[in-house]
Amino acid sequence: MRKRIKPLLFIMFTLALLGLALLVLTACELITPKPEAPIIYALYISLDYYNSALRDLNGTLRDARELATAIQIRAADFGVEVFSTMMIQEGDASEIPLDSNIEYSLYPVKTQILQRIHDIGAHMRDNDVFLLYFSGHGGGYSLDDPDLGFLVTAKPSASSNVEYELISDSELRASLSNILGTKLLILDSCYSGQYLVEYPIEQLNRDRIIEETGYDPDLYYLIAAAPEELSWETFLGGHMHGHFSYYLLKALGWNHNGSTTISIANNGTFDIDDSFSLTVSGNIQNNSIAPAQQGTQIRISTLSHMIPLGIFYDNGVRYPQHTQTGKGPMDMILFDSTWE
Amino acid sequence: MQLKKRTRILRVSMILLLTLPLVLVSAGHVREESEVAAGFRLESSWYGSLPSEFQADPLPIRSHLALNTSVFPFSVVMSPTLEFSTGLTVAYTSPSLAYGVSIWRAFFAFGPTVELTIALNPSFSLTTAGTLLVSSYVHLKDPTLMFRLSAIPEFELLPRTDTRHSVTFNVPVHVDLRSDYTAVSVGLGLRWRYYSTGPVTEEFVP
Repeated sequence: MRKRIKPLLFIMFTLALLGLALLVLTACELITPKPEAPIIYALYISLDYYNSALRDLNGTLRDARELATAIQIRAADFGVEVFSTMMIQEGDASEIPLDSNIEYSLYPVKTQILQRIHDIGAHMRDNDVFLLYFSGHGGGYSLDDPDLGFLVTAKPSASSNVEYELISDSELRASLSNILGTKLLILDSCYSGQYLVEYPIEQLNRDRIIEETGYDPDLYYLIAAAPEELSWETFLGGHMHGHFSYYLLKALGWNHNGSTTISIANNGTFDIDDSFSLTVSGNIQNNSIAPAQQGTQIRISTLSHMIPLGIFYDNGVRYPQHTQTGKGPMDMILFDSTWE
Repeated sequence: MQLKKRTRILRVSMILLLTLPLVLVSAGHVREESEVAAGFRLESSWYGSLPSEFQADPLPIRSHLALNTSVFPFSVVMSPTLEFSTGLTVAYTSPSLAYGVSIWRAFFAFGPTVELTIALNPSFSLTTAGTLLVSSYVHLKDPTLMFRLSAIPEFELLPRTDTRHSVTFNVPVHVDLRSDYTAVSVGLGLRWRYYSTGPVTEEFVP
């Protein structure tokens, strides 16, 4: 049996292997300096619409407060710094109650929400994370215009003639596009799938999609429903919750026993010493590992995967609710214990 | 591309690839005395995804680990130096290494493979392959098509001189072509073949 290997082919193949090895060694994640650990800037917007003609929502505020608490606890577990801002409309007062200790600038009217997004964005570095959570009414689905979508915000003032205002998907995308860093949009509202920008997978129409939709590779999604679907509230864990938010909380390890009071930094300012106290029903058990944790990480696609399909019946009609997340190969890490 | 259209392309491609040996036989390209073989290959690779510009990734390469296996139920040994194989490839590619807040997803893929192996001498051969793969990222139910081109040098470990079996050591190099990005992988593997006829002892004639 002959042992000779054709020398030219062998040399060519060895060179190819060496070239690839060089490529790997000079470019891989192990060699490139790691970015600093991100700071999470979270903005929670939630409304119950008791002060408007719109249908009341009974679980939205609880969802927002519990999620803010869960994120704060998990962030502490992973050693990640979080700045939280809550914009809440609560109760039947025509606008923010005068005796409330909440700043009017944190009342969730359209202009203030967009201004708050802008202000937070101005503080962020390119390795930070902006988390925007909205629980409230959404609408606008149309077969003729699948890009039409909006979030319903609060009545702008007691003297205003309008009951509510709308933030369209293009307005929200435009405000997010100015933010440095990675953005995570978590929406628990009807038709929220309209906010998910199509991943431009095909070469043929990529430029058109990017131009028309403003596709942003740094924008990730956790969205309650498909574009044509409603997002439901239901009685879970002893309270009313949004189906989506309830299972999102569960994936983070939230349970509905007892209560938790924590100090959350901060509420609209960027001073680490400025904080507000939040008491909510439920807790995350000390030293527990979130069900969504894989290895050292909690990733968005895992959280999304852990929210089950919802099937709801209204007047005999069956309504499914599918959680949405971005397509394509890129995924976002919400927490990682190896961050330094 | 619509999923229905992709599925139709895949179905037609699989039928064409898997029936190609029969076409070759009926067209007289394979002599009556040609022998047939079966086998499989198992490999583990470093898998590097090369992000496209629109993905704006901070890294030029995303490193994954890949495991591939291919089953070849029907190969035709067309001459002492030429073998044609069709089979099915199943692959798993792990999530990439994390970098900051981003990571590339794991995916599964499967699809038909067609290969041509040229023996350059009794102990060394080169296989070129094309594979049409349906891939789906883990946790996403969104199958997409990709095409894999492969060059696989094979070094004989267990020669056919004694048995009906042969085992080769492989250094597979793959290039995965997707519509949104490209990937390359280099790995190590083993391929086992079982031949329909007995040991071959005659002298190799290139």
